[in-house]
Amino acid sequence: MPTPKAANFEQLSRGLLLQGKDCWTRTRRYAALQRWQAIAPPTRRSEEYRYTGLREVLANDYHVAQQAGWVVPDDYRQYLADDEQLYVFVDGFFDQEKSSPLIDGVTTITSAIANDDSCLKKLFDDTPLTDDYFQLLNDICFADGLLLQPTGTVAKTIHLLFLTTANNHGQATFCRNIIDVGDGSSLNVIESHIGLGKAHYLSSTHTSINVGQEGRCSHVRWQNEGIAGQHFSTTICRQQQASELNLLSISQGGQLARLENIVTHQASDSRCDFRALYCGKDKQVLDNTSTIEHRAPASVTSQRLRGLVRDQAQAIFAGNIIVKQQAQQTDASQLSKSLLIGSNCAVYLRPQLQISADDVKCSHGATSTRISDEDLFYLKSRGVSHETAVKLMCRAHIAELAKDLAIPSASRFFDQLLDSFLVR
Amino acid sequence: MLAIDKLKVSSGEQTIIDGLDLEVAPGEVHAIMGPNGSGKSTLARVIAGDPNYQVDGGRLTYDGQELSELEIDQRARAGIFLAFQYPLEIAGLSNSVFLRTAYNAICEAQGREVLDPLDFDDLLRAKAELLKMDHGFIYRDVNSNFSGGEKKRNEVLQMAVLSPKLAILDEIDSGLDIDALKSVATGINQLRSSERAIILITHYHRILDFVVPDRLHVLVGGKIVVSGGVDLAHRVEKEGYENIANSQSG
Repeated sequence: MPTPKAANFEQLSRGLLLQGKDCWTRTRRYAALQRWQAIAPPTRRSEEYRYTGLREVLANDYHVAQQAGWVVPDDYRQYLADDEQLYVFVDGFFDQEKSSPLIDGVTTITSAIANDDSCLKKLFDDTPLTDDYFQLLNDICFADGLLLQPTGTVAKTIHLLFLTTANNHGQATFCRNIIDVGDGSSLNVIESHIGLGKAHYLSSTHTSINVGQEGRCSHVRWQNEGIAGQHFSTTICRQQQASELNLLSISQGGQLARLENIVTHQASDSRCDFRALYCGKDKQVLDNTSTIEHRAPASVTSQRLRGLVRDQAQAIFAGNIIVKQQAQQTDASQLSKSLLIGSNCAVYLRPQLQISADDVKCSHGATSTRISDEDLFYLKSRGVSHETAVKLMCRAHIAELAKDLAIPSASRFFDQLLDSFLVR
Repeated sequence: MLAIDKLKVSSGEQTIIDGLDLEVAPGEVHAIMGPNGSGKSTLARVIAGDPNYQVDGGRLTYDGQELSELEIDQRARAGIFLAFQYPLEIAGLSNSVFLRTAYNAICEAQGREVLDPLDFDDLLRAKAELLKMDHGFIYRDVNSNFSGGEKKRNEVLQMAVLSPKLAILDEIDSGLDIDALKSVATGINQLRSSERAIILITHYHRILDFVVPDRLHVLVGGKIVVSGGVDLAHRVEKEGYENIANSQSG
């Protein structure tokens, strides 16, 4: 049973459940609620949350926003690039006025439910309920999001912009996105989560991605929540035969952010390029958790993470690569490198490989280093200030991830990220 | 330009430089030779401002200003350049970006016009050509996966771009084959000028066949035991540092 501290979530979930009018989603929400009620909130004794303190999240009082807050145009336009198909959600509500027209293969989850979209139930069923406390909460409470089902190549990058106004304390938003890239189709998606105010809030997102046979999907998640934001996102990806998936996960905002990525190579010859970048400062806690499972032969995973941490921030990376017995000729690599600036920050690394096949090429490595005095001496001896020297070293540390991006316009996140990270 | 008077330097409990005097004027090339551990690199790094060394006594002035008053970057912006014995590798930072940042920081401090990326690129290419270096060199990451010779040539390129008034070249010849040595030496000679002073620190006389110094000093036990012309290098080669130090103390 939930502890008293989680009673606020209990109230929140029941309230939403009563609002549901649809049949199968109501059933699913109810099943999730029952499962959620049966598990205790995670604590530091839970392996998955050992270094991710949740006391504040669980103690805060939350309510679901009943309407979207007010957003001035500059608040969101600054995050956009030209030539993007933009869909804006404010406090969980779809904002048609700020969004591009809905195109073929693009609709909101609420519209799809209202129209009794026959595919939708199957897509939900493809992602069974888990026993994760926060994922279940999303299953119970999700309000809206986007359903993307492209056929063929979508020329423009689709940008999903989730804005939280965060003017009132305790707001909670639960978003759900489903990306189903058909066989031979191609799609670029940017998913941005921005917090505008300073109030504490909870932002939960669940995105499932299916990449069909010989399909291609590039997905960027940019987490830049407000300073008191608590962000929980789960991205669950399934790859079909000879598909290509490019993931870029950037975590820089929020008081606490947990980004979980789960990739399954369901069929042979699929390729996954997974890059993750986290930049934590002040007292931020940034958790990056991933599970990549190879269930079929001859698939490739390249996972690269780079982290920058300063002040009293903490970063967590828990990465697990699983190679099933039938997944022969798997080529999987994982490399995590963190750069610590100052002596009070910390990085907790937990790389794992679980290999049950014997004809595979797998490697992993994890390092955390500090900028050495000799590095700084060298740079400063050329005339650059201490601050600039640190910035150059940080830029160098993350540079590899910014090369050859599947969505080139995502390079803008790298530029602003360093400025934001290094400003006091 | 550079005046060192009775300099004493230590690291931890160990005294490394013990009463060193040296004067270097604009346009001069001074070579400092000495055995391992004699304090040559320490001297170079102290002039550049390495905080790992403690100046215990004496004076170190540059253009009339106490160097102890200046931080590492301030010294560089005032025109002091140190070519490292072991140049650092910085993967992910291109030579071009690094040098433009440094160049503009120096220009700003000296009241000169800063350059945008395109103009700086022209300057960088011109300097690379002057030193007969491949243009591809300037877009590679700083010293990353460079050979020993390439690293040293890159230090000379940095010197050419940043155009210092006082350049200290710490064992720029170490680890170089004869062709690379000649190439580095040619670069240094290109950068000799009446306004620029160069201190060339070396173990061996070989580079002095190509870069002929105006003065040569032998540093032993943390102090200069003898100074002279380039002929002194041949005496060092013949007699060895220890004998020279003993004959001077005797």
